[in-house]
Amino acid sequence: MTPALQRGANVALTQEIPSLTGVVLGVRWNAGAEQALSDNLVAATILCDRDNRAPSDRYFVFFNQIASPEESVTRRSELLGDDREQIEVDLGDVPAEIQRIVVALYVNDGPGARRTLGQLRDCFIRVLDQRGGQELVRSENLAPALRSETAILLGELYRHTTGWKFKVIGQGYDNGIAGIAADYGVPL
Amino acid sequence: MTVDPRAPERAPIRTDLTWLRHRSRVTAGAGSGSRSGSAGPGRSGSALADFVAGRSTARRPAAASRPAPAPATPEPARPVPARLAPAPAAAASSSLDLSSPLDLSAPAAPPTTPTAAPPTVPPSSGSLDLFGPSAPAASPSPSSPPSAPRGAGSSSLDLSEPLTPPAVPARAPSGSTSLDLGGPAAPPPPRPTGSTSLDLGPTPLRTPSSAPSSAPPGTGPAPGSATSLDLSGAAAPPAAPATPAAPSMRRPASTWQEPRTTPGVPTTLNPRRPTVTLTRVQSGVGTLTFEAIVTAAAGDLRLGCAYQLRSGLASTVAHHTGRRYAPPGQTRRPLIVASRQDYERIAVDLRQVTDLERLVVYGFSGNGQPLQWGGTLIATTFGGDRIEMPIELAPAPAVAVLASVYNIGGELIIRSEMDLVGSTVREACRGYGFERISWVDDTTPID
Repeated sequence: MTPALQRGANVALTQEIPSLTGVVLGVRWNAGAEQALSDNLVAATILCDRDNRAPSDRYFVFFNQIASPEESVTRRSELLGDDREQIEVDLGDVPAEIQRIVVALYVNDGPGARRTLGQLRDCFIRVLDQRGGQELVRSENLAPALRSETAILLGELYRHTTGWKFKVIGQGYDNGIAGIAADYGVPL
Repeated sequence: MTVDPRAPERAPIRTDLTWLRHRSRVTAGAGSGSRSGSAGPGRSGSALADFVAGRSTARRPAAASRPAPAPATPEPARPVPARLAPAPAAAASSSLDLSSPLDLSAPAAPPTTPTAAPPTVPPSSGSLDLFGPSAPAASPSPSSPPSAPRGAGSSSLDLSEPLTPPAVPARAPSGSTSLDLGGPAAPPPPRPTGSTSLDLGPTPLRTPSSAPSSAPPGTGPAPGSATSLDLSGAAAPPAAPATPAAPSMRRPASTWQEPRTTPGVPTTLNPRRPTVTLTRVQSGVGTLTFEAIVTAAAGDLRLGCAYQLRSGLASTVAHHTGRRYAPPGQTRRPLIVASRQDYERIAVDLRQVTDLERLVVYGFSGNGQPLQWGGTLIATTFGGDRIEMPIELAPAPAVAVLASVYNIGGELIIRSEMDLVGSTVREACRGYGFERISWVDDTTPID
């Protein structure tokens, strides 16, 4: 078990592991008895350019769009381990203009009763080596700080002069995925 | 997949574009595949959707209707031959293959000169010389009128010119792609050869279904200019007869793009522009709602929704009849909810969109009195984009299907139907292929 990364902490992935060619971003949560909340949670991955904007709607990867156009980022349909969602990233295939890859978790705003992330007991993001599945990094439990939020930025992969780094974000949004989409220029 | 066929429409534009069109065709086939890769099932589904719906989409009908005009032109082709003949001689100097094909066409010319052109186009670089020769041919007055290309001079454009004249008449039909000759020549003989790009064009025309499949694989066109030549020759004889068929192809434009919504600007659907395609993000985030914005002047207009899920389950919801949730009895996590606030509303939970195959929104009279109709059905995406569908129907004591939604490869295609399809909900649903629904009476499905 690796030490948990606090909000805002980062790690230089490819600098520490030069042989790293791809990672799996695992998202896990525990909503307790709130099955309705768990059913309506969605993990979404946004690929952003230098201006922190998604080049187009095609760079929003989630259950209804399971890969970015060049397929460097894909959503796994077959999960390994206990994660609720897994996103594979082939670091070498990520287009040069993509500077960061952000993972969000949000409550879908459906016709049913409104839920919030405050009902989550646990919420983690972790990074696995794509080859072998070894856990490289794990975030602290991000759930305790959540109240009325309906979306949260869990973490991000981003390019640095030393290579790819990973950072835990943990920033909540009261206005859900609409707020995140607005921040990253994803057309809804 | 349907994109390719549309190329024909643009046939009239023939210019440099002709060359591009060829390429577009091929790519179109490949393109559809790529799309599917990114998100699940490919586009092919769209055709299915139309088929399933039991109705021809605007595209198909148009294609069928257009064909007729083109057929008439077979005769025009004859003049071309003469031109072609000159061209071949010139061609001889440069790329042998090209020239040879030209010659072939020349003999054939009587039937369809156009064929010659097609071969030249594909060859591209090699063909340059040919073009030169061809240009002279172009001089013949016949070609000049149709071909805008003239300006092109030495380039491929020239080729098109000579070709175009003959092609124009016949071409329209084949229109599917590069006017190039391929159109004219292709229709008749091309299929057999199938190898060249030219052939592909024609084949699709004749048999839409088969053509698409063959075309993509058909990479054959690439194989070589040489092949194309052969085709043209072969095509020439039959060309005259074939031309009629070609017309059908016209409709499709190689550059056709699916209509999308525009942020901040309502998208209005009407008979000329009946559909809009939501992106996979728009199709999978939040809720998609339909509201009937009407006044009492329209009568007691109520909304209902017939749906079919991937699981095979099919049924209806309608606030007026108390069947408010889909699937039936699913109140905890419904996929579709019928409600009434200011207006009648149908809401679709897009978190579950992958379970949805299709649905139709229908309007009916709540009090049994005939409806005057009127007002607008508005679909709203989670992001706030609005799709407006004016309800313009003759007063009638009927049930009308107002809109349909198909889930094609993760993208929802919304179509304005405005179709007085029956006197009861049951008839309306059966009219739209909901054969899986069994009925207690004319308005109530069995759960």
